[in-house]
Amino acid sequence: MFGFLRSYFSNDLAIDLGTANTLIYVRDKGIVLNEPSVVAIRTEGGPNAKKTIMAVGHSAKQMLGKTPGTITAIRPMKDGVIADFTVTEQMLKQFIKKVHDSRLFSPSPRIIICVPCGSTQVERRAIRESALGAGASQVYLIEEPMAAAIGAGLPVSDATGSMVVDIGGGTTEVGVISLGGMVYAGSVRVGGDKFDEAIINYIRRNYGMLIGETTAESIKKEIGSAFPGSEVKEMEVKGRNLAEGIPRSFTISSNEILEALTEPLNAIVGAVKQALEQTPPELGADIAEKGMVCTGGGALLRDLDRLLMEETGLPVIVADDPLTCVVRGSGIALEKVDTLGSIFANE
Amino acid sequence: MEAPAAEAQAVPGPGVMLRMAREARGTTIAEVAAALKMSPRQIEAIEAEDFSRLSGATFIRGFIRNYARLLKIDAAPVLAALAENAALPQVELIPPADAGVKMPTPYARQGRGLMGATVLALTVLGIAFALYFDVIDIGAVLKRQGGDSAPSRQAAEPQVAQPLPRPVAAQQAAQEEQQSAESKPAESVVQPAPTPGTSQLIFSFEGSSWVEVRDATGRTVFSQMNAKGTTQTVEGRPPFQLVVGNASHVRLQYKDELVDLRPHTRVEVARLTLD
Repeated sequence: MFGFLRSYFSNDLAIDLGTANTLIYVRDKGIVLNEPSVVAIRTEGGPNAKKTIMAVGHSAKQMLGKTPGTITAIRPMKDGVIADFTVTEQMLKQFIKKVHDSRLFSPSPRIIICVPCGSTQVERRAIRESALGAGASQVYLIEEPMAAAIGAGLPVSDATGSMVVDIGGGTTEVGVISLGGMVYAGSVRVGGDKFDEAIINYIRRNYGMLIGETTAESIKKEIGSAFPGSEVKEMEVKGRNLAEGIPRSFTISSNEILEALTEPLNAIVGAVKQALEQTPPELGADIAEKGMVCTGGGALLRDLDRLLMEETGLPVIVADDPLTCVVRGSGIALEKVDTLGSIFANE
Repeated sequence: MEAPAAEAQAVPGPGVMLRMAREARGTTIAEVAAALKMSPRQIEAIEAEDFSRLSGATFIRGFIRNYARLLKIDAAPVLAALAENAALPQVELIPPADAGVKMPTPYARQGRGLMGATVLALTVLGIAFALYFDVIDIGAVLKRQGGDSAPSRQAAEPQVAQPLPRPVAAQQAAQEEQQSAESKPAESVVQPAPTPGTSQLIFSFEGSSWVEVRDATGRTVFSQMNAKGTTQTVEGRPPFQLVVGNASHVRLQYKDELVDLRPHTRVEVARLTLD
């Protein structure tokens, strides 16, 4: 009834509250925020110390692993769900504040927010509550594979099977979609973070060197590979030698990273194969014809699509701009929020 | 045949670029299809730029990117050529159409039961209303049932020649017949002259009928069930307000004239005022 008033005072938002990055899409404006989901909190001395938020997003991420005792840099999301409720709520509030122009009245937008399809009722409620706590007037939840498929431009509302593999920071979501609904949804808690963890463990085991998460992430981005056969790349890495306790540098090759990533990659391949096993044959035929679509930051891992292609024998393509597929899909859903009631998830 | 080839060379489309690259590397369509896990038909469609045989812009771009990577050429110029040359089918996000017909639910069935109960209640109320306001002729109903209440009412009236004992239900009809036969000669004899200032109403009943008469003061001067074949004389100060049940079987004489009850009759009950 007062829709026109509401749209005047506040813009509706679509949020991809990811483990690694949070993206915000504003109706009619597109993606306006793409920042790491990191919060830096400063504790001001004493036992009953007052805590203040020092930084969120990019500036907070730079502090990760480099903070003194009074500052803690936290990633409040873990495995696709909220690990620290209060910090997540504050982070969301800060991000929403960033994208809204300062006005006389504080904004209370309608928010579409993505949830992993494997998340529990409690986890979904936590995400909804944190969005409400961050000032939303109404919260709609959308499952990540659905949002990713819409964002990748798949014909989700047609009577044809579309398969999407969204490899995020915390989870990998596999969805088979037809007629605007999820026919199969699977989720494994393996994603970019697990890749980083695997690289850290590999280097500690084989080189006796300790590296941080940020270094592991840059190794993954630079020379990470999911399938052998491409050209071999090398990279110089600096870390702390465990035996000597002294920082040292060493060189690592893409083949070693491939070996390090075998375990998390196998988990993803397993999830994809399980989805294909569970897919009804008619939809399986559509998928065999068109192939599956990879989205999410994990899809940028070199040759990941080739790995899936070789393992499944099906065509695999990487969506355009895979990092923003989920938030773009949520944005499209946001623009049609009044007609697309059926695609939203319940708690 | 030559003209399109020359045109294609001037501005090579994505399919042509890929085909040329493939031919330069000396690979066949079958080899490419095997490497990309696609069917040769799809590779041919890409090279012929027949995008209607492929499904959707996302897949076409993805296939071309994969194909270009396999041929070890840069995908960007091929995709740029694709964007320039071909209008790709765009995906519309339309929710599946809805015929708008609701399936019945157990709750709806309960509702139907509720509706039945409502109809029943309304019917009962309607009948009660009709009975209370004399819309239905009670006389006719009672006649059909044997006129059970008539004798007791007549017993209370002074005009009746002799009071009758309250009959047992089973013997009612027979006794009534007997009584009416007995009382007829007596009533026909009694025709008292009207006192000054008052008027006389003379009812002759060809069927049993309920009659009520109020005089000028609003007092009920006559109210009783009358048996078939009897005659009643009512005296009072006009104007009279009359309610005559089973009106078609009643003849009314007033001021030595026969009153036609038909214009005043509705559902066998006549309501009228006589001056």
